[in-house]
Amino acid sequence: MNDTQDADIVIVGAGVAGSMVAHQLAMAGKSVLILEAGPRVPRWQTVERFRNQPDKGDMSEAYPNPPWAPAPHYSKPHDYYIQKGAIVYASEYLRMVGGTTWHFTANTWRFRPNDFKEKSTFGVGRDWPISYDDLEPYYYKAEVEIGVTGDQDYGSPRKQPYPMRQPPTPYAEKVAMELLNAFNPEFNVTTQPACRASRPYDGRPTCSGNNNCSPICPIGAMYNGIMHVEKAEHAGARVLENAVAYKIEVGPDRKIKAVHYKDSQGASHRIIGKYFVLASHTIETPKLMLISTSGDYPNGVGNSSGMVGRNLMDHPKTSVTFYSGKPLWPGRGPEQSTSMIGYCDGAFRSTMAAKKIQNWDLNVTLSETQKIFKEGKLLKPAALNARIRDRASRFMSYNSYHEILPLPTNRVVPSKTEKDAIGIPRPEIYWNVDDYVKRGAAHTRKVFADIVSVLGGSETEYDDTFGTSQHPVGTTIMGNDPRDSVVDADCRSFDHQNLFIASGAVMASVSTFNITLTIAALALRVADTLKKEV
Amino acid sequence: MNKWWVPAVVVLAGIVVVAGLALHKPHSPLSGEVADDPALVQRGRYLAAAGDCASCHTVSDASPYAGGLAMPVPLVGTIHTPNITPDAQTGIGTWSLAAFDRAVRYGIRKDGKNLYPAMPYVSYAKVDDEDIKALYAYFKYGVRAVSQVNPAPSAAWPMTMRWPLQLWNVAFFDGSRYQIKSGHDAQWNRGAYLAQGLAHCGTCHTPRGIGFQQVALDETGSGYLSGALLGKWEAYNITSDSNAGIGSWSPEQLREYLATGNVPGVAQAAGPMAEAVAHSFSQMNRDDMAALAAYVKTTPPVSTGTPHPRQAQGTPSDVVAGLRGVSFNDATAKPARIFLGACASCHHWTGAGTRDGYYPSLFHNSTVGAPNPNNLAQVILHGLHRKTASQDIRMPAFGSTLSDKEVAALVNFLTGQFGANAAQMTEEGVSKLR
Amino acid sequence: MVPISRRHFVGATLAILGAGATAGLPAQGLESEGAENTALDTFMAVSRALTGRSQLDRAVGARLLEALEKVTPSIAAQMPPLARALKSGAPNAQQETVALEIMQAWYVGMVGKVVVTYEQALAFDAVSDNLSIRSYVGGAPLFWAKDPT
Repeated sequence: MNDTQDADIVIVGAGVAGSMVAHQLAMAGKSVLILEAGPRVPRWQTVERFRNQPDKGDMSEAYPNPPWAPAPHYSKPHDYYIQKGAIVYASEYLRMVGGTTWHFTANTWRFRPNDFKEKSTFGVGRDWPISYDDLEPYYYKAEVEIGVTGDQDYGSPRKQPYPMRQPPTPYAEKVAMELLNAFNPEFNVTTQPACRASRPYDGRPTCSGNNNCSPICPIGAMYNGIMHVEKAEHAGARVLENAVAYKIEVGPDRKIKAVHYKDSQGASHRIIGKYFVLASHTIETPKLMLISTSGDYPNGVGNSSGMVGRNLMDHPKTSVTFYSGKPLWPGRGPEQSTSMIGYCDGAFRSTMAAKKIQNWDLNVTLSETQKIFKEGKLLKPAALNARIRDRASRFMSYNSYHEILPLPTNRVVPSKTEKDAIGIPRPEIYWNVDDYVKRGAAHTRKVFADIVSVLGGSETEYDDTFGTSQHPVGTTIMGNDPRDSVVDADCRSFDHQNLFIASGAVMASVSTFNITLTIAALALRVADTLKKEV
Repeated sequence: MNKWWVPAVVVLAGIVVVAGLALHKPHSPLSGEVADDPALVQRGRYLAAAGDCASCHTVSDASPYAGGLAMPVPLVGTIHTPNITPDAQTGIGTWSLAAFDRAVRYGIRKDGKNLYPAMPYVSYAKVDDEDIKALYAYFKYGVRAVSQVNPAPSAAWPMTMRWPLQLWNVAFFDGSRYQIKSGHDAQWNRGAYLAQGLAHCGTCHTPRGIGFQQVALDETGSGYLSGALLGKWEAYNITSDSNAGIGSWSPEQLREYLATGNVPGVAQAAGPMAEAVAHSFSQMNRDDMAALAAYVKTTPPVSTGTPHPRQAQGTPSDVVAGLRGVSFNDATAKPARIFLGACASCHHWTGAGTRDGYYPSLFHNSTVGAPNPNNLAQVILHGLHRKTASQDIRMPAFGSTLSDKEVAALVNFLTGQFGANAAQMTEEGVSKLR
Repeated sequence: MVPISRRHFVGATLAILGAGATAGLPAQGLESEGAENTALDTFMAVSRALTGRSQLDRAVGARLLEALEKVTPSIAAQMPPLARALKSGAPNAQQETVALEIMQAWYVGMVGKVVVTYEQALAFDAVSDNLSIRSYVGGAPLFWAKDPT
């Protein structure tokens, strides 16, 4: 034990959730300390590392993966995860200052009202202990903090206009949207709410179509969690990078007393606090709680329900690629601007998974050129250039986010044998999709076939192996009952009065929508609760 | 020899000075009221834009002209600009035309106290009576009243005393109206009237003497518009010198710069000049901007500042050819790497910007090509925001992601590659600009 | 299979090379200092001919050649016969394979997983009227609704 520091509020994790809580509390005059397992890397270095990497489709290679804070990365998740389930779980995230929103795709959807009450409405899954209406003001607050554009409510009722106007829709997606909706209005392909500045916002420049949201927006037009890290620091919060929390210490009154962390050399330090907020995303948060065992807490901290680590959810994904009949020129502008939301909600959810379907609007020039060379034919430049134009202008890629229900058998368990470089257990993942999802995916396959047909597609390739979408939630689930939930309606641990969780890990359903805005809204709500108590 | 008469002379001189001071509190020649005439108010709105009142008197777009901008004043400390909305308690709502004019063209407040020459009454003295009446009409009838009290000056006694400003005025305040010069055409005279008066170019661009006064107030004075340092920014030499000033710019380029803040391949306005473009020049009509440009282009050349035209320096970079695919870390990253990672996304890996000039070229760039690298460092640290009716331009700030050492290295790289010579910015120099 | 039209590959650069076809070409065991430059010269000439470009970045070419040599150590030695074969219009299958390697290197900017260039990868030129290179601005903000077809 090297030293002891203290703060009013100790936050574990400097991603969007942790930094929003930190910012709010620092502005309210509290002393705030954030522990971040990974390093701090400035944007310009990530931009250059991206340009230096050979596979431009790898969304995490430009980011650090140090031995003291290993994370599942895009091309080699199994260096970290230990797969124990029937199918592979490969969602990746980042452990670094700023967190995983360094490389998301700027999609900032609200969930739908029904997503909060699936049990009472459809007889499946769970009800959240709060309603959409409870969260609505925080959704708006998060939209202002993040800077969100939109042009309709997309099925999520709102009281305030969007902070920024919607930018124009890229040509390729606009054409597809019109054709698909004409073919079947039930598809309901729409624009989407996003956090790319459509005008200068909060010091950020206007989006200028770098087509690189993931892995890195080079100009900071897109929101990244680092922006709230900087705001929090400006307001007086401190961030300790390369500080890997490995033990939550509980005091005699069942309150959390301290968090222990290791630095990059493996040396141990202790932080005392009045209140503690776990904000380390959906895999690390329960892992930390589960490895914090002691005589009094043999099953880990905050785990009287036995649910810590369980109910892992994500968006099981199927996809299709094809070449459109006419050149549409994907890859102009942002990476994703439209979604098919016709199947995100509805009575069918009592029997099969809802899903959102979207296309990936990426400039694929290099990968298409490599495919052409793989054919092994030496072409004249004119013919080669024409072929590149033809392929790059017509390659289309669609994927789907299916909703999986909270299944206690889908879970994260710290390994008893496999440890990382500083001796902290690696996570075992138990993962499978059930028939609820498979029924939904069968319908998705038909929709994909329709999309191909409407866009005159050929050379179609389906991928029905259920990948995951980097949207893990549920492992410290919210509920009203401490017997089957980890945190209550305020995201406070049922077991430890001064322990909160600001993370997707608390979500009681994954819906069909990207999770960042809901994470931010929940974090701002936690901050409000803390402001009253601390 | 016993100089018995010396004390008497001193006392007499003192009496003369005090008497002179008492006489030097001039009054406005204007009287009466001004009607709420929409055309006059509209004209006043235009002239307020020409005078750029907003740059000092508007802090938040939600409350225009409510004052509150903190400004450093030599020897005094910090003053906050007053509320000039028509609010009766906290603004100028009770001021008559004469009182308004006394402040704007004579530098004397309604309560009789002198204004600090941070208010450019020295320049506004040139404005004619009709324009003053229109301005008064605008500030009385065209601006929304806002109740806002602004902080008093930070100075402690004796620096709170304002009567020494009367001495300053005696020494340095000319106060005469603009006089048409025969021998020059109407466009030149219009440009001169605007430049010397409402646009008050000399307030920033003319160097100052020992009493902090502009060394010249028009083109007949030596050093007029030959450049000055304002805190951390340099207001460049804009005389007609081909190398040191803007002599090698065409009148159309100068007009475009004032109207839009962006002349591709020449110059972009940042910092205080971006504000002037946003609040003032971009809102004025084409003829007036052409007149201003025509006048400024005829000012006598002054060759201090730089031996080469700032806007005609530099060449495209090919650093990417040697760095792409090469790994780096904190310790090994060269300044060229910072350029590629932080700047090139918008300014292109060659520094050429975009073809349409929306994102400027870094070579043939009057800021990068200037010998004093401070303005470039400022833009890197704090970014740039320039909003006109047609465009809202934001370059982000890099001060929070680059250390002082990195900014210095980047500035020296950029000026070496895209300017005339590599600057010698230091870590310490950068830290002073934050 | 699109056969290389024999005549079409004789570009101006090859003609120039052809004019001094034997002068300056590396021979085995050449010891003079100019050997490496000459190998690069030949590589650049072959590259220009294959890509149909009158100008290619020499610094990029030097790095591509270095990367190619790591995979195919004899590639420098294969340049002159390849140049001659391209000029005469009769490259054999093995030479076409080498030519394809060189084309790919210039077009994707990589040799295997070794990145030599990204911004200057020739593939992007083929689509530069409609697509910008990822991580570089596409144009003035919000440009992308325009119909590129």
